[in-house]
Amino acid sequence: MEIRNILILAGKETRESLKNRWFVLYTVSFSVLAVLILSIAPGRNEITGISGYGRTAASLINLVLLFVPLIALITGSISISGERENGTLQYLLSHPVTKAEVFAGKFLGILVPICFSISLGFGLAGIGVALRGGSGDAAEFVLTALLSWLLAASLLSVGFVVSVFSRRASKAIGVAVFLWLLIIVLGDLGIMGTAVAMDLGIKQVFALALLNPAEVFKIASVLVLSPRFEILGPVGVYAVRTFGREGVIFILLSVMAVWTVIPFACAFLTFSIWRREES
Amino acid sequence: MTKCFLSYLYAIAVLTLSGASVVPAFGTTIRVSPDGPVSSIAEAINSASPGDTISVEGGVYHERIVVDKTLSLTGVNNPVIDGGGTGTVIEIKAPGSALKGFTVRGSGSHLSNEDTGILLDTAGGTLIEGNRLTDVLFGIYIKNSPHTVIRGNTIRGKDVQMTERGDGIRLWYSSGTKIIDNDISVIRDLVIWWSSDTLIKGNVVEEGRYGLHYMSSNHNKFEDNVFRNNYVGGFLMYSVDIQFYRNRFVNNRGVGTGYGIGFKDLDDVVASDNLIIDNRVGIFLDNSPYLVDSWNKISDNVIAFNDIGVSFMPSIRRNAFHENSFVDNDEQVEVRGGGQLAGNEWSSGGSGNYWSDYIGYDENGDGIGEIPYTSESLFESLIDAKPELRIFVFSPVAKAIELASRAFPVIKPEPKLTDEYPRVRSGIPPGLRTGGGEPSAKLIILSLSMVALPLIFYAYMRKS
Repeated sequence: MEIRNILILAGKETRESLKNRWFVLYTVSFSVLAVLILSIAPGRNEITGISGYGRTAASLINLVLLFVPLIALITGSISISGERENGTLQYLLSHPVTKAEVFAGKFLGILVPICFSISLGFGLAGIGVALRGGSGDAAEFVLTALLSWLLAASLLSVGFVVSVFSRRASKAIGVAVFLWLLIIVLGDLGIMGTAVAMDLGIKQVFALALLNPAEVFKIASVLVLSPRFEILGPVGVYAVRTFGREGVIFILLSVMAVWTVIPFACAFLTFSIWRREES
Repeated sequence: MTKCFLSYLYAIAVLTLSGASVVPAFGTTIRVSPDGPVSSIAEAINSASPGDTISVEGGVYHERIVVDKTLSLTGVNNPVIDGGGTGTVIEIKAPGSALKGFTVRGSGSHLSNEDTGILLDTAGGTLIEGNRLTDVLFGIYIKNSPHTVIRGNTIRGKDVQMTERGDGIRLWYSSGTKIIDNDISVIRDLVIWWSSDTLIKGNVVEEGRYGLHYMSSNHNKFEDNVFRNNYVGGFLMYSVDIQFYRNRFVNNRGVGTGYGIGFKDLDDVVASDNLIIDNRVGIFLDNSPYLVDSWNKISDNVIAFNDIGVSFMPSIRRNAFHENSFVDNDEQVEVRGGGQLAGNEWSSGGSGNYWSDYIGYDENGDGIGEIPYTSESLFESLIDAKPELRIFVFSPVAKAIELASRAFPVIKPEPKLTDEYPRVRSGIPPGLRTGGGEPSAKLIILSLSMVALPLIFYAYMRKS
């Protein structure tokens, strides 16, 4: 496995991503919406000294939760399946590169532009907030962007799993959109329903919430963004009291890392085995 | 009630007695200075007769003082009395005394001994003015001393864990006391025990447990105070006839409490023109009013940017909320344990409250919406009934549930409350919502680099 080959492949993938209409559409809409949300936010509050950013952070988190998983899942899901459908995957693999290099190159080549798009949206919104006099703790702002990168990485991995199992890109997109719905709405809905129906306690609800990478991102963002973890209710207070603020953030980051590494490994193993059978 | 009555009698008795001794300043003045001839305050007190004035020059006096006769102690050029970290620094035991212009520091730190900066014991009608207290366990402790005046003092307690702190100001059977324009921080409570007809005005209380705490103290009033960054802004308990106006309760966020203002077994409250902002819970109502013929009147307040605007314990009745502004609270009204509110009043004479989440219109321009405001959110009903689910707040699922309950009215919950005459304009004072600040250079630089990096990257990728 050569780093140089991975970088060349990643570069090729990135250039293709930048030409991808989905990608451009998502980047532009994410940036526009981020700027809009933060520009209707109130400026520094004279009485409380709270900046506008703190209170609108929730809307920004919501925006990230809707956009980032969607773009990561969809671009991930068409990464391999698209090339397989076009026949370019065979062509690519006929070059003197290993499957590992192709896989890693593709992952990097898609992840990097997604992360830069997130950075673009946050940056534009941040300029807006700063010009209107909101102080918005700069470090927290950057940390939220970094958390969004982690969210993108984990869902891109999941997208790759979809991709290696799909022969056609259209089918892969369908599965990706369903997964998006599952992760963003249906999964949480299921946990809430279970919690009410089975009268689950604090620990169980916390454990179940940890299953969902999007929910993990949200909890981490709230903890990073504001000192008010009690906004998360008894479960949040329980978690912070039991593990400490840093402890909880560590757990949440670990969950996101697991959600990145395991699907990535699964996708890669499947990719290498599958190709061998085909040829 | 007997106790209350007795304390009244006591207050009247002491006032009459102290009135005689406080008025005429007939005594002589004794001068204390580090350079002598009298270099100790205790020595001066020993040689003084009741009614004398003791004038203390600037310098540090390492002593603990007991004022056992009616005297007026005046600090000139900010003298410091240092208790050396044990016991109570100044103890005043004579009615009609005065203590002005001192810095008092270094009390002991034993809660069981109630080590205090300035202790008034049976010293009604005393004036404590313009002192600075630092590193004290209890700040000013007013015991059995009615009609005392505490004005313009700064109190800063010991910066230890909350459980080891003492009260900034404690009133104990001291009716008719006035606490005005003090600046109090890093303490446990400002607490009023068994004292009526007190006035608390223009104080700032920060970084404590209860910014203001009434216990079994009737007919009291507080106004124009600021309670900021405490566990609880004000916790009013077991009292009747409390009025408060124009106070600010801001950012009180203790874990498990975090009330801007909380009522417990509290009757005949009148609360107007207060700003209750950015607390965990704006107003918390527990078993209030307690008496069956009592109503609490809460009007013209701004309850804004709290996690929960007003939180009701189950079956709370007879609270009248009129012409308040409920602005952008994450949850405007919570009913603990779920369900609907009954027996409270949300409008009178055709005028209700302003609700920032009101979806309606004012056709005839009278400032009152034509459609009633109803608080009915499926997600809120869920988290009221099962608080654990609050962890899903801000998640898209919360919005999805609201959308679903609008689309399928079958699963729409019963409204928690209905305001028949919602106001369409808030009473929020100008400057509360927005105010320009300086652009943050750090944020601009970081944001610019967050924008510039991807653009450079895109440009580079295009070229190569």
